Amino acid sequence: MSRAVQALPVGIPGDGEMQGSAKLEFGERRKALLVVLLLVLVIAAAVVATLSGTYDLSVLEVLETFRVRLPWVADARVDRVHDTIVWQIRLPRVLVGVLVGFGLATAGAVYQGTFRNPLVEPFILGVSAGASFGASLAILYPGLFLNLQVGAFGFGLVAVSIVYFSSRIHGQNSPVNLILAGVIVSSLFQALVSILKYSSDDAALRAIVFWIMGGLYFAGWNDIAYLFPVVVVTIAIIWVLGWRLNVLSMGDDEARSLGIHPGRLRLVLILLATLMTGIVVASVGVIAWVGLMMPHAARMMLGPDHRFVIPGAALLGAAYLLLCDTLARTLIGTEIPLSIITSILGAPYLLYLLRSRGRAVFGG
Amino acid sequence: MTLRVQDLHFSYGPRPILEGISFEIERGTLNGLFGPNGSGKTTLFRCFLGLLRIEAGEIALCDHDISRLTVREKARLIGYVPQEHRPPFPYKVKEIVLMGRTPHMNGNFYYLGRNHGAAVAGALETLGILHLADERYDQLSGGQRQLVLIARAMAQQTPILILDEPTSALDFSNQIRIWQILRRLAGQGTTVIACSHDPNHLLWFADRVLALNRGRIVADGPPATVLGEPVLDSFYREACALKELDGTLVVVPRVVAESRVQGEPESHARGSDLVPSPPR
Repeated sequence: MSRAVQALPVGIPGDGEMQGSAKLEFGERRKALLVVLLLVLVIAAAVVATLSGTYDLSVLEVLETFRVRLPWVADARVDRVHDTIVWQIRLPRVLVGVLVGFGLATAGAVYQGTFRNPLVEPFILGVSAGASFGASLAILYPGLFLNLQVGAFGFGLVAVSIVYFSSRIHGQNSPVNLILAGVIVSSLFQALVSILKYSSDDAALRAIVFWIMGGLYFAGWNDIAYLFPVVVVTIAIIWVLGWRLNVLSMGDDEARSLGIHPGRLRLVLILLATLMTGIVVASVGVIAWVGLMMPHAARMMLGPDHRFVIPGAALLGAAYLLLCDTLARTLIGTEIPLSIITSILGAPYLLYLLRSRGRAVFGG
Repeated sequence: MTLRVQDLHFSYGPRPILEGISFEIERGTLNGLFGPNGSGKTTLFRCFLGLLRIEAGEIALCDHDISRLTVREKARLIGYVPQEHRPPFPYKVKEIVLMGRTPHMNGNFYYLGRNHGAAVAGALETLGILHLADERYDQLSGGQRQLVLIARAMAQQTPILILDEPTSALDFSNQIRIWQILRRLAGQGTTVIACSHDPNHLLWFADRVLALNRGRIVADGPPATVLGEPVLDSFYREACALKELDGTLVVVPRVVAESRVQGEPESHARGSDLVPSPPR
C-alpha cells in the first residue's frame, strides 16, 4: 500500500484525451520470434532423435533411406534393414513423440487456464487415469466401444466431469478442492483398472500393463493416423481461442463483462483438451507431468498470454518428449519406459514449483 | 436514457432480493448506489451486467433490452470494475488493460490492431499509471490493482460504467483521486454508477444518489437530500449525524459529533474510562 502512495502522482492528471500520445509496446514480435526459435529446436531434436539409436547408422545412411523414396529417384537400391529402422521404427516414433508432446503440453495449458490453476494437468486432474480405464476396457472387451481412442476419450470426459462438478462451490473451483478431487478420481480409476487387470487373462494383462506404463515402444504409422489429425486440428482451434482463454482466466464474471461467454468457452476448451488427452493416452499410455511443466516453462519464456503460451508449450512439450524418449532408448542397452524418465526429470522441477509458486496458488 | 430499469424483481430461491426496482439514469451523470450490507446493491449490479437472469421487469441499456443483447454487445455498452483481486497468472498491467478491448477486437480471431494499444496507453495515462504498464499486475499493491481495473474498464470505452466499491482498497488520497476521475469521466459523457459504503464520498462527488434497502429504492435524488438523517438513521440505526462544515456537508458518527458538542475531547473521555476505579 505504501508503494502505491509514492507511485501515484498527487492530484488528477490534465484533461488529456483518451487516445493519449503514449505508445505501448506489447513485445509480440519478440515472442513470435521465440516461438519460431522453439520450432527450430523441435526440428533439431527430431533430427537428432532420428539419427540416434542402438543400431549404428551414419547420417549418410539415414539420408540414403530418404533419397531412395523420392519419386524421381530411379536407382532405388534400398538397404532393407536401414529402411526398416528409419522408416518403420525411428521416424514414426519421432513423429508420435512430437504429437504426444504437443498434445499433453497443450492440454495442460488449457486445463490450467480454464481452471485458473497453474498446478493442474491431465495426470493430476485424473483425466489420464480415466482415459486409461476406458482404453483398458476397450482392450479387454473390444466390442464395447468403437475403438481404444473412443473409450479413452469417453472415460477421460467422465473423470474431468466428476472433478469439475465435485470441486465447484458457489460457481468457483477452489484450487485445493480441484487437486483433491483429481487425486480421488485418479485413485478411483486406478482401482478400476486394477480390477480389470486382476480379472483378465495373461495376454491381455501383459498388453494393459505395458501400455499403461507409458512409452513409445509400439509407436507406428497407425498411431499417427489418429494422432496427427486430432492433435493438429485441436491445437489449431485452441490457439485461435488463445486470447479468449486469457479473458476466461480472469474469472467468469469478468469474462462475461468483457464480452466472453464463459460457460460455452470453458465447455469447448475442456472437451478439446480431454479429447487430446484421451487420444494420447490411448496411443502411448500415461505420461505424467509434461502437461504441468511445459506450460510453466512457456510462461517463463513468453509471459502468460495464451496466444503465445499455447504454441510455446506445445513446441517445448515436443522437444522435451523427444529428449526423454531418446534418453529412454539409448541410455542403457534395453529400453526404459518413457514415463519413468519424465517422472524422474519432472519431480525436481515440480518440487521447485511447489516451493516457489505453491503459496501463490494455495494462498497458504 | 442510457439506463432504464423498470419494475425489476429478483430472488435467490424463495428469498426476494430485489422487489420492484424502477429508475432511469441520464447520460453523463455520476450516480451513487447507497445501502447497507445485504441491501441488494451487488445483486442489482449483477443484473445490469447480465450475470443474473432477471425474473420480472426490464433493464434497457442505451434503449436496448438487455435480454435481447449478446454477451459481446452488452460488453460494448456497459463496463464493469470489480473489486481488486489476484489472477492466477502473472499478467502484466498492459495485458490486463488490453483485455478491456476484447469486445472491440474484430472477428473470431481477436487479432490486435494498433488502435487497441493506443486505447490502452490512453487509459493508463488518464489514470496516471502509465509507468506501471510493464509491471506484473499480481505484484502491485491493492490500490494500484484497483486503478488498473478502472483503466481496463476505461479502455473498454463503454457509454455506461459501473463500479463495485471502487475505493474500498485505497488510501484516503487515492479514494479522492478515483472520485475525481469518475467525475471527469461523467463530464466527458460516460454514465457512471458506483456503489459505496462511504456516504461522504457520495455527498461530495455524486450527482444523484439511489438509496437501496431490503431490495427497494427508499430514496432517490440529489445527495444532500437523500443522505439526510432519516435515511442514515434507518440504515445505520442512528449511528450517524449530518453536519455542515464551512458549507460542506459531512456525515460523522454520532458518538464523535456528540462528544464534540459537549466540549469534551474524545481522547480525554476515552482515557478516563480506562482509569481503574479505586478499590473500595
